[in-house]
Parts: sequence; C-alpha cells; structure tokens
Amino acid sequence: MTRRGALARLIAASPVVGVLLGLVLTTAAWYVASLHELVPAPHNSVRATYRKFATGELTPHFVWTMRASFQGFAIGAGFGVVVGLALGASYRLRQVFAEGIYGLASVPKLILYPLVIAVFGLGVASEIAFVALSCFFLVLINTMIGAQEVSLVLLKVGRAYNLSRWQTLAKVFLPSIAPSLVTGLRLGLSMALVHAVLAEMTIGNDGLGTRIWFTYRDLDVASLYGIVFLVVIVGVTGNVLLWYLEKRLRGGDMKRVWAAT
Amino acid sequence: MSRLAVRLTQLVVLVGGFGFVEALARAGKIRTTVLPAPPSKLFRTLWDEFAAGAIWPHLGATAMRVGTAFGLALVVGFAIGIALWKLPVLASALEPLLASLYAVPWLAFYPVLLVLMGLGNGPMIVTAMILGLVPLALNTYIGFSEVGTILLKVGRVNHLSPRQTLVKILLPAASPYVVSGMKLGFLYAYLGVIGTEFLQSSQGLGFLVSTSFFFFQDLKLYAYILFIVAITLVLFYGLDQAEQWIGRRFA
Repeated sequence: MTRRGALARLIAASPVVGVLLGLVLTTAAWYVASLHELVPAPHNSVRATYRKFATGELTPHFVWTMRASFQGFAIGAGFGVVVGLALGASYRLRQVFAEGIYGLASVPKLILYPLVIAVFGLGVASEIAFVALSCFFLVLINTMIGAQEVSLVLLKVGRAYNLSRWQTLAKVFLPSIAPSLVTGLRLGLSMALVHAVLAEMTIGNDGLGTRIWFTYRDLDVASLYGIVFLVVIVGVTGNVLLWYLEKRLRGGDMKRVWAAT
Repeated sequence: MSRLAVRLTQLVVLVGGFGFVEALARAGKIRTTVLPAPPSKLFRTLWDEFAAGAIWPHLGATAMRVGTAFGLALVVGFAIGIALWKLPVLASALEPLLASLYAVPWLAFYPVLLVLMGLGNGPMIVTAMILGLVPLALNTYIGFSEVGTILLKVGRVNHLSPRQTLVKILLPAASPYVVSGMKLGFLYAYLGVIGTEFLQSSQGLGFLVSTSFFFFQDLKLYAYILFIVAITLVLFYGLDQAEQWIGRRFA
C-alpha cells in the first residue's frame, strides 16, 4: 500500500474505527433502503428479532446453528489440516492431486447436500457432515500452501543445532505454517457458518436457516431481515477477529492473502 | 515425475476410482440408498436426458443468468474497486470488513430479494451478481493499489490522460490481480446462480437437482449432480488456462 498517509495508518492500526465505520455505513444504507415500503426500518427489525429471542422462540435455533457450524468446522478443518500437511510435504502427491483439489473446491457445495443426506440420513449428522465438507477444501488448500513454504534453509539450521523431531516441529514447522493455517481456518470458519445456514434453508425444522424461510412465508419481513443480518454479524465478527490474529502472524502484510482469497 | 507421468497417474486414479465404485456397486456392496446405480448407469441416464432434449432449456436458463450476473458484476465490481482505490483512507479503515465480504452468507439474502422483486430471474441474477462482484472489486482495489508510484509518475511526465493512464499503465500492471478477480468473479456468479436455483426456482440446473431430490428421482438426481460437477471442472480449468494465457501475454 504505497499511497497511504499518516491518518490512514492510524485508522488501519485500530480495529475499532473500521468496524464502527462499517456499522454506521451499513445502518445508514439500510435506513435509506427502508424508504421502500417492502424494506423494514433497522430499528423495527432489531425489535422484532429481539422479541423473538426474549420469548425464547429463536434461541434454540440460534444455538442449533452455532453448534452445527462449530462441530462441522472442527471435523472438516481436522481432515483439511491432515490432508493439507500430507500434500504440502510431498511434491509428488501435489503433482497428482493438487489440480483436482482446486477444481473440486470450486464445485457449488449446495448441490452435493442431497448426496450427503443419502449417506448420513435426514438430521443433524447430515448438516454437520455438509458443513465439514464445505470448509474441508479451504483449510486443506491453505495448509498445503503453508507447508510448502517451510524453508529448507531453516530446516538445515535446525539440523545444525541438533533439534529433536518435536523441537523441529514446534520451532520451525509451526511458525512457518501458522499464518497460512490461520488464513485457512478463518475462511473455513466463515464457510462453515454460511453452509450450516444453507443446509438449513434446504431442508429441516431446526436452525436459523429454516427460520429465514419461515419468516419469508409468514411475510414477517422485519424478522427476516433481522435473522439474515444476525447471521451476517456473527460471521463477520469471527472473520474480523481471526483477520487481526492473522495480520499479527504475518507482520502486518496481508497483500498476498487478499489475492489468494 | 514428468508431465506425462503425472497425467497418466491422474488418469489411472480417475479411471481406477470410477472402476472401483462401479465394481462395488455391481457386486451389491453399496446400499442403493447411498448410490442408486453403478456410475455407468448414471452416465447412461444423463445421456438419455440429453437425447430426450429435456435438459437444454434448463442449461440455457442457467447460462443466461450466469452471463447476465457476471456482466453486471464486471461493471459494478470494477467501479467499486476503482472507488476504493481512489479513497485509500476509507478503504484501509474498512479493510478487515472488506475481507469479511467473503464471510457473508449472500445466498441467505435471496429470500430478502424475493420479497423485494418477486419470483423470477431478477433475485437470482442480483444474488449471483453480488457474489461475483466481491472478488472483482477487491482484486481491482488491491491490484491498482499495488501499481508502483514510479509507473504513475512516468505517466504523468508523459502527460497521459486519465483514460490513457488506465489503459496503458494501471490495467496492464494490475492485470494479474484483475484477471484472477474476473476468474473468481465468474465462478462465484455461477455458484450464486446454481445455489439460488437449488433453493427456489422453476428452471435451471440447480432446480433440476432440487426437484429430483424432493421427488425421490434418485437416478436423475445423481446424474445431474455428476453433470454439474463436470461442468464446474470444465469451467474451472478453462478459466485457469485463460488466466495463464493472459498472464503470458502481459508478462
């Protein structure tokens, strides 16, 4: 970023300013949009959604979605890291499988949900498996990229110092892989929440995704907007937090991450 | 491994994989609820669908939506990218939020757009356009921000007009980012169309999958899924080749 002044650096250094600014801009845009008769005003939406939580109507669905996202994410990210490390470590495996993995990663996951249901049956197991599938590829690809970047020179330095296997892992491998790993986990976690909601929007009776269609069919537009923005807020919050962790690990340089996503 | 050896291994893995599943399915080792028929029968079903001509209108509808959405995403995404580049203070303040645009469940906005625009192509195209313009806007912004000040100064010394600066300096210098943004933008727009069709529509490839799913037409369901996966792979590798070709031309 060559064109930045002192003011810009000050703002970029503080997470609070950017997030507040984004919040203000979004709310302002929403108020302008609510001049349209079919768009609820933000405060009406917040009130309607708050009431649904206060009566306990929405709470179990919120908990359901969060739980399914995290469980699916844990499984998908776990597999992603293991396969990613294997592919990152072996040039031959990468030669054969990397292209296919990049291709499969861009298949619209939603159309695979019927297959997941065929294997795991209707219910929460399918949702979790689908969420796992949705974040698997992103975690895999980023772990693979990270593992590729472990420098041979550093490994040699480690050998010169007679580091044990575990010391090599902790002092050389992990610090080299960590930034890419966090990129993968950040993107994977985002995908997990998105796909949990999408799975719920496809079929089922539990979770925020089902509530989106319910409020749509009841023409309860205020709650519809409220629930959609609730999901957005949760997803963006998680992403922003991991973004700052990632920025610290990368020493402030996020350019390559932008291009990679 | 040499390039040929890699390709051969990939072929062996692919054919071997299908052959393995085919053998298991024929031997009755896979429950028919999981896989209704051996892969060969699924390919056959897909072939019949094409021969009967039923699939073409759906393919056309999807292609039209993807094309329109991507076209709009190109214009809007490029404009937003340039606006962000022109307002570096604002953009750098919003940076973590801009990166979070990938974390927003845009497909969940589809019902919101259905309320606003009613059933039809509109909400699908708008959802897909938003998905597609995110990588376009971000990559344009980053690409332009990365163009060296020296290049821009050379332009100023030579009294280039804003248009000439854009065409002769900014676009070529930022082309790796912009082109990769276009590739991702297209794939995201495609994903948005298939996704919205799957969730709620009456035509298109995504609709074919959801309708055969909800009406328990297993053979067709699996055949269509195979077809969409195949189309995605063709699109992905095609765009990848195009990106590399453009990269070589500008390098």
